[in-house]
Amino acid sequence: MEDRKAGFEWAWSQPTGIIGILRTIDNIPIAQRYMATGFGFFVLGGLLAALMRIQLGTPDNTFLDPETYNQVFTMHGTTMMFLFVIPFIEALANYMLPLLLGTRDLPFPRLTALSYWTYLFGGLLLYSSFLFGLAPDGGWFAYVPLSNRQWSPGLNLDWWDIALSVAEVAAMGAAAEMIVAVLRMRAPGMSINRIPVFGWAMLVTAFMIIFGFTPLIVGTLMLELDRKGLTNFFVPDAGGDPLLWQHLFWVFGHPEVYIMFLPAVGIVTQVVQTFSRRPVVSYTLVVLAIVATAFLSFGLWVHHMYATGLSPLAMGYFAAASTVIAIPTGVQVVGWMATLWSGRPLWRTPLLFALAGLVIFVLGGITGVMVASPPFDFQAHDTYFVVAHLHYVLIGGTVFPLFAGLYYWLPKITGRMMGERLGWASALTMFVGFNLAFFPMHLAGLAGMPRRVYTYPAGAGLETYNLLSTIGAFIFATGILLSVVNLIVSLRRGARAGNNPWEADTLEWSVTSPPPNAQYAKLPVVRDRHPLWDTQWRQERMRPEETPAPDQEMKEDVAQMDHWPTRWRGALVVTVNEGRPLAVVHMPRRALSPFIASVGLVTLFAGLIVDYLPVIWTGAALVGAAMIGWFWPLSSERAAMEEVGRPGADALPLAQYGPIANGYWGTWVFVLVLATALVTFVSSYFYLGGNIRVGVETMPATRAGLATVLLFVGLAPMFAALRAIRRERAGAIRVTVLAAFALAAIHLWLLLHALFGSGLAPATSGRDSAILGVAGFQAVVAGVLLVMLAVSVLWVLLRPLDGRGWATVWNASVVYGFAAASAVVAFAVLHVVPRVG
Amino acid sequence: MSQGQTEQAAGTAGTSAARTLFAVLGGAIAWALHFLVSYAVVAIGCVAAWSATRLAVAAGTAALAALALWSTVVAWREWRRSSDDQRWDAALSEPRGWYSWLTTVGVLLGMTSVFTIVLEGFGTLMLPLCGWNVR
Amino acid sequence: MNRIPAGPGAERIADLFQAMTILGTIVFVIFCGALVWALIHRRDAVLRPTPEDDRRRTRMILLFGAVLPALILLPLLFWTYGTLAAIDPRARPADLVVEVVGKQWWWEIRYRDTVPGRTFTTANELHLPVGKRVELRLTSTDVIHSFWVPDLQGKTDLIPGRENVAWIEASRPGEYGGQCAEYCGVQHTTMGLLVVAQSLEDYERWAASQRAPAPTDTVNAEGREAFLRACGYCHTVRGTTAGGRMGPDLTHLASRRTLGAGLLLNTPGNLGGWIANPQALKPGTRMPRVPMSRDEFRLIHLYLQTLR
Repeated sequence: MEDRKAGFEWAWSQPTGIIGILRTIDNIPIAQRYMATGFGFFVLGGLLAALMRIQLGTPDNTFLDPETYNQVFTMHGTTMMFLFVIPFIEALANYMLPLLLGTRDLPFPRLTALSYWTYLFGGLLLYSSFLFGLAPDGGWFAYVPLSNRQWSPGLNLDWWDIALSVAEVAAMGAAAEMIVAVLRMRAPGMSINRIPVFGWAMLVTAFMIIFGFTPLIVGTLMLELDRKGLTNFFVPDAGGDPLLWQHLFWVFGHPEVYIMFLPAVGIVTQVVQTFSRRPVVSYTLVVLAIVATAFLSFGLWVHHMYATGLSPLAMGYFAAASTVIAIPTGVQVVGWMATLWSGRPLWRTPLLFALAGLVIFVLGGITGVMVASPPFDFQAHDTYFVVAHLHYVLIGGTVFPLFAGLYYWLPKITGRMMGERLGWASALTMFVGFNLAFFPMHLAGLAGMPRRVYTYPAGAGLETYNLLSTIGAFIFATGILLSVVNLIVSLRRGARAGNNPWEADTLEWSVTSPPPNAQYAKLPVVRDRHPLWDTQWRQERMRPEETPAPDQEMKEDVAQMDHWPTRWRGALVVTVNEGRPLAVVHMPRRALSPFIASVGLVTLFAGLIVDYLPVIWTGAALVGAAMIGWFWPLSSERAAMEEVGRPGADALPLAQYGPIANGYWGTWVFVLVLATALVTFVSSYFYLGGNIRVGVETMPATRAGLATVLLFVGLAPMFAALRAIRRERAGAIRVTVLAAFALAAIHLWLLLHALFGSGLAPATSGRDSAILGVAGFQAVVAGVLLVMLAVSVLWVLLRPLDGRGWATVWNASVVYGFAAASAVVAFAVLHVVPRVG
Repeated sequence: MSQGQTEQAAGTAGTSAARTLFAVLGGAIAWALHFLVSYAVVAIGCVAAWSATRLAVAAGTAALAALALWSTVVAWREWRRSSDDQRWDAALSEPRGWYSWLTTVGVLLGMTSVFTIVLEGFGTLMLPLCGWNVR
Repeated sequence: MNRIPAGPGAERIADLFQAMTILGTIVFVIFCGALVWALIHRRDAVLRPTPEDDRRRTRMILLFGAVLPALILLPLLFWTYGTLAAIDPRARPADLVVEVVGKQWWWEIRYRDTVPGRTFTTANELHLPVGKRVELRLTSTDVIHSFWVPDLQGKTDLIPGRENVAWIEASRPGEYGGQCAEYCGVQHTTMGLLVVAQSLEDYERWAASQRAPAPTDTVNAEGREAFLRACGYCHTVRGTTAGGRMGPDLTHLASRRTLGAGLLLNTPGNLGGWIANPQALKPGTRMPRVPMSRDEFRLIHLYLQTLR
């Protein structure tokens, strides 16, 4: 057993040294860096806000000139929305989810590292724009035509657009991790209705990221193409439409704020639970509210566009949904109050922050219902009333809960308790400062002060409100500083936190503070929602036969995983619904490829900003090299394959390929992203169709039709390959994969041929740009598919019976199926509808 | 459990995954379809000046509200089937409890969806159909 | 709040707003009270909630968290629907049609008329007769702007490539300030607008004088010549050959209250400063600093003051 422990410790040890810092892919160190970086951007965004408040503190102020002010407010918004809140939440989830769920790491460790490094370098790339006086100045929402090439010819908006891509990459990576983690990587016995509320919140948020961020990716791509003069998606004179940008941005932008809010709901639920010393009343209603809010949040976006001259009936839908969404929120809030009411409150800082946030958030929710009404919004839109509202809901609904979560979980992370007195001082100062800063903004807006103005005239009745806001902002900042001081002091002199200083109920409180790198050498078995409160609650509430002990099979699986594997890193995968052990998954120990890929990615982005080919090629080459390293076969995986029993044996199988493997599930997440992108491009195409001013010839249908048919034909060998894998027939595997590859290659060639031979002129036509969007996307999907199949071809030619190769074939088959389906959709949209409609 | 196989039926409480998904998410998806399709129909109908736009939207509302209702009913029935002597939101849940819990969520989500679809449908009765802008 | 609605559009909205504010305040106060009570009320030292207790509490959560909010929100939603229908531009026919074209960073205002020759253009100042409904046709030639005169009506965007329709109406005479309400570039802050509501007679008088072209007498010939050379490329003065469309129509500049879209009062001193160096007063404005000699400056300055 000692050998086993030593081996296990070795497997989960962190790499050391400088290179070790770059090679680490464990969630704990990555998450710590992520949180520190996120907090750093929070401070930067706050400094920008301080500059704004100084400028606005007095009327007709000249502290900042207009152009500088516009850059400052743009960067404040962009930093907070893209570089602070979501990355910080991702970081906290990266750290806490495995602990809460009872597993050893996130499912895709290298992706975790890639997300972090890309985020760090991308954020730095964005801020480097200040050094050149070229910081973005179009607002965080960058409305066209202002942000397009004609009215913002400088590099500022290119900087904005491309540096945003890093936030997008990081968010997508996090989404894939969280979905697979919450659905599959849990402790044995943690059935779907026993997942902690924070886990549910992150799962739902991850899906929202996929459906919400993808339209932004498409939109920012379109904007950058427009800015480079290659397309005219948003240029009205050429047949584009500025409102298309607004739709794409807000389809992202509205869910974005709920992406920020729902994790905070999860945090507040955990905190309220622990500090009421009882389980939350009606777990079901809280989870239901989270799911309902997530769905409804996608039906709200047009409320940002009420003033653009839309159909009143259309506005009515969004007004209704914007109002109804208050109901699940009400359920959550009342649920927390009921928990506090029937519990025994423990007055500690985390609870104080949660309550402060709750009060602020509810006020913000009330003003939200007000602006949900189009007539009132016609007055309040683009005024300081909205600035007040959004800060009330975001700071009350996310920032205060994040502080609550930090005070709650930092003892676990650092092993030291934070000071209570400083904590209370910080919370109260922040609460007072916040309200002083932002409540007067409601009144300023109602008095007629618009947003995004660098000054206001004396005598317009706005001086007092603005002065109060400025003072309040500095008090708020002081409150935050107090927490920073608290953290620094507690790291040195805080009382040592034991495993469970709060006597909380969830699994993370069963390990040491700070936790070991492997987190759960011995897997816990979960029998209800509050594993650490088991005994007390169970005895008083339930009949023994309703709380079954783990059966023999589960016991054996758990025993197998005890301090095992030892020669490679492994974690347990469970069934989605019941949480029964299903398989063991291999995970890499360390890798440099994520770091290199990030460097390459950001180099590539930087080259695109300035249009400098050598830099672009360098970046692309680095990314390519890193990808080769990433997907190069791992010897540790070979060790895993040798050690784990053959399928059908008694022991847990290896989750290596097919539906049992994490990579397969990750591929499905990727396909969801692609599907959302397809819907976005197709919708944009139809949206611009009504704006046709420039006539265009329809694209040649024969080549596209043939391409579609060929891809469909290719499904046959693709699925035959899967059957051949099941039967382990090397020859058949080779032939089928090669056939699928060949057909996919011809498909791509035909698509490109059709595209380039079509006579499309996107540089002068909005409609052609829209066509290019759909057809170009097809080609990209086909290209991705081809690359995946090429990797499979390499595997099956060299090692047809290796499970690692089979994994690539299974994953390619998922993308193949999607590519075939989307080819049909694209063909119908581009060639059938114009001829019929 | 061998590689390359999908999960056994043991994880789906004796029914198909599709039925479970429909019971749980059908209402919400019906709501999403409702507002997306209505929005698109109104947009196209106003540009193309269809006279039957309002009627089409009303019909779509009725149809999708019915779909959401059906999903709610399925969820209710599945809940009845699985619950036997289930307690409402038992804090400590037994192995079978997860299905009863999922279907509870489905019923409530379905009811919310029907409510919201009907509420949005009222706009069809009260509001002007098209925007007043000219391209 | 500080502003008092002066037109039926703003009044309708203000009614809805007041109801929402009162209701919202009541809800918030009750919520805070309930929260405080939840936290401080006396309870037993040891808790033993039973499943029945929690089921009861769950029903309470549904009642106070879902049903009660729904009962409050639904009437508000229907009031919203009603207001939305009532303030629709097509609800009543208009008495007057005015085109407003947004430009960086000023407003081109054109009064349409069915009789050709009675159309006239001005900038940054909109006069209307009290009690008459004015239909606004809104568009832009560059980026998105937003027309907002809070005392009279909610805002509507000016979007290039489309023409939006809105309406305003003033119930009593007065001057009402407006401002661009969609970020439109570096001088978004100084894109102000003045709406002057007058009696019908006063309005007709103003419109008649605005329709007249600039006098072409020989008294101001030198000034006119200087103006045409320096400014005619960008500006229009009806009655002269100056026909530039890039800047505001200056035919009756001296009758306007402000300069630079609400930036400065239209005084001789301010006018001189503006002509001499607009970039110093409104950095980034599209009007360049036009090089001219002292004599030319003096002539143009005097000439412009004659354009009443």
